[in-house]
Amino acid sequence: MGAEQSVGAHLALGDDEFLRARSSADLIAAARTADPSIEVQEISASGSDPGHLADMLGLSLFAQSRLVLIDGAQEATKDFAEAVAQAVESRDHDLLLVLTHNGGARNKALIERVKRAGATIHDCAKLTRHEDRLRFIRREAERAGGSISAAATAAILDAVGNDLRELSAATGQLVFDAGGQIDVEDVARYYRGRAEITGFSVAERALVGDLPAALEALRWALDQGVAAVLIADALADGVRTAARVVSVGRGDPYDLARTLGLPPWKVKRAQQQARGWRVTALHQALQIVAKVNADVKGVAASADYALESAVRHLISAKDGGPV
Amino acid sequence: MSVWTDVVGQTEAVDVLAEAAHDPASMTHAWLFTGPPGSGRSVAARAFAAALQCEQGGCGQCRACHTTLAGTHADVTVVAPEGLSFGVNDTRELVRTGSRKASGGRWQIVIIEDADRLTERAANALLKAIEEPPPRGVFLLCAPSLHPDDVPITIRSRCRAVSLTTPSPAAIAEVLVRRDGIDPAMAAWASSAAQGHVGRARHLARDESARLTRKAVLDIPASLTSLAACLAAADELILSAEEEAKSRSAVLDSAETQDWQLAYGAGGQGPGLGRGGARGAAGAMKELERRQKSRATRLNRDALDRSLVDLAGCYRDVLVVRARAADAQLAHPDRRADTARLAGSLEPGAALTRLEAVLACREALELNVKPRVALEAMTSRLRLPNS
Ligand SMILES: [Zn+2]
Repeated sequence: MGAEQSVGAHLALGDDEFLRARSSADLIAAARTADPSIEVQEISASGSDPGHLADMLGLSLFAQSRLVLIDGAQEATKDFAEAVAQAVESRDHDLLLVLTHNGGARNKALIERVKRAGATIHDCAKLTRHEDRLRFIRREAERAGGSISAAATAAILDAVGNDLRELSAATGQLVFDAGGQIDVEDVARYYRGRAEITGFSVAERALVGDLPAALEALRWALDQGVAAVLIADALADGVRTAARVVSVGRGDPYDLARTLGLPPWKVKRAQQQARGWRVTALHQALQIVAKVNADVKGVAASADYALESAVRHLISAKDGGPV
Repeated sequence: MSVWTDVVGQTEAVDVLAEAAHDPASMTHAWLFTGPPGSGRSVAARAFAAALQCEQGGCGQCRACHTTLAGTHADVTVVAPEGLSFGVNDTRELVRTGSRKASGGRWQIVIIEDADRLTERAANALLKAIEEPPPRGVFLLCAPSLHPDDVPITIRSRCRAVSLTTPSPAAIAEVLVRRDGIDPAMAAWASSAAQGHVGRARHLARDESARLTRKAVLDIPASLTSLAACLAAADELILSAEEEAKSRSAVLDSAETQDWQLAYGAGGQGPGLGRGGARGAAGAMKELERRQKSRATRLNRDALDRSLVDLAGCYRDVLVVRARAADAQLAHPDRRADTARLAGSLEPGAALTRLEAVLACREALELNVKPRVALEAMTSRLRLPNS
């Protein structure tokens, strides 16, 4: 990072709090790499007045270079916003100014002035599209010094959900665990031991008909403190997916993926889990998962017992036994 | 033309209410209106409020009558809790309203449209006011008759009860034509298809997409010939409820958001806001969004429930047809041919277990079972024999 980049202004702008925090952390890290002696100060715009800023800008006697992070510019009072705008426009300080703003209507005029003054804008808008989230995961893997296959990217998103903070943490951890290159097997292995996914492993084992393994997974999940409701949901999801796969008949996973609106790797997994399930058994299974869904919401005295009996009934239904 | 004209098909209740309005000396300060969904509980309560405020006991012409019916009378407060539950703070506020001196009207009236949605603590706050009513205060509570237990016994026992009945199709058709200007043929069809629900009849008469949704729902029983069809039917029910809730929310939300902008200015930075005004606007916006979200959830549930009521009607009609009960009223008289065909493949016992499956699904939804899970279990149980 050259000297010209250690002066100037940056604006992390958008409604995603994680991306704003990430942007400012990156800028601070880059500035520290460029100049390990840089002095970094952070203030929150809410509750600050122009005096605070003047104090910070005035402390330039000893430090070689400085970075001032002003967080949450949307919360700034009118006076403080004015002071910030002037600081950005004047450019006569030997400092790097980093602002964050949530992109909302408040203090929009400040954004415009900062833009006009030539600040670098970092887009921190919430990711709403599936592809954007996939790209985010890929970049997180690269950021952690690794790489990731397309199937693994989809698998992480599927397992973790849309929360960027969790996606970032999971991807970073996986790069570390897998030693750089993440494949879909790494994701599966990693999530087998994680709370968010243990409900799915209970469902998976129940669907393939392995009673001892399913009960073990269930006890383990409950011991880990996984909410009974989540496990019941996972059972329902598993049965539904198997029912959908069976109901459309055999076929190429890629064709089925399109018909069912599921990623191909999930279809493949569901096809494995659906093996041996007859249509009548699936009808019974739909009743079992609906009952346990009500049971864990207070109908049954013991949610743990209700889950265990649902697992037993599912396997019995698959084997054509009484449910 | 009196305030009672739009209280559809409720002769007995109207007699009681009209008499009470004429004899203020023996006034009861708390009333509980119950009746099946769509029977017009809140319409009856508003009409009664107008009759109380009117010098002539509900002429339907004077200012008091008009403003009460239009919801703008200064001494009539109508509360329709949009949240799933009505909190204690809201109720305290209401109790204060009820004890305020009437500003010009004869009574200070508070109408609570969904008294069954009061939380326990809120009900206790209300109970105090009902036990020692302010001299000119009148509380009119409305609740569905399906679950009278939803209104605590302590409150119920202090209220005079008015129970409404399911209005006849003829009475509904009459009001659709007269009040809403709906074509008589359409009014006759909609009122016969609405299972005694006045608002539903109006919605069916006016809204093409509501008619299409109803048709799609009523086509479900005969379509359930495979596992795939069962899953598709559950999808269809969920999707159409979501769409209906979304379109109704959009209309209500945009009106409210406009009101918010009038109050606070666009972006919450309108003129006349003092220091901290923007913060107040943001707070009000947040509160509004919270209410809108919880209303959207409720609209979705209501739409789903309506589809289930329609579906239950199909199986009930099969039972009626199989019993050859000639004079029994069909839930879906316009679908007689479809019902006859369905009755061909469903024995009475089979129709009954399917009716039970629909009712069990409604109960499951009340227990907060995930809609998709409850509906898939239901459509699976509804599949046709030998499929
Ligand atoms: Zn009048």
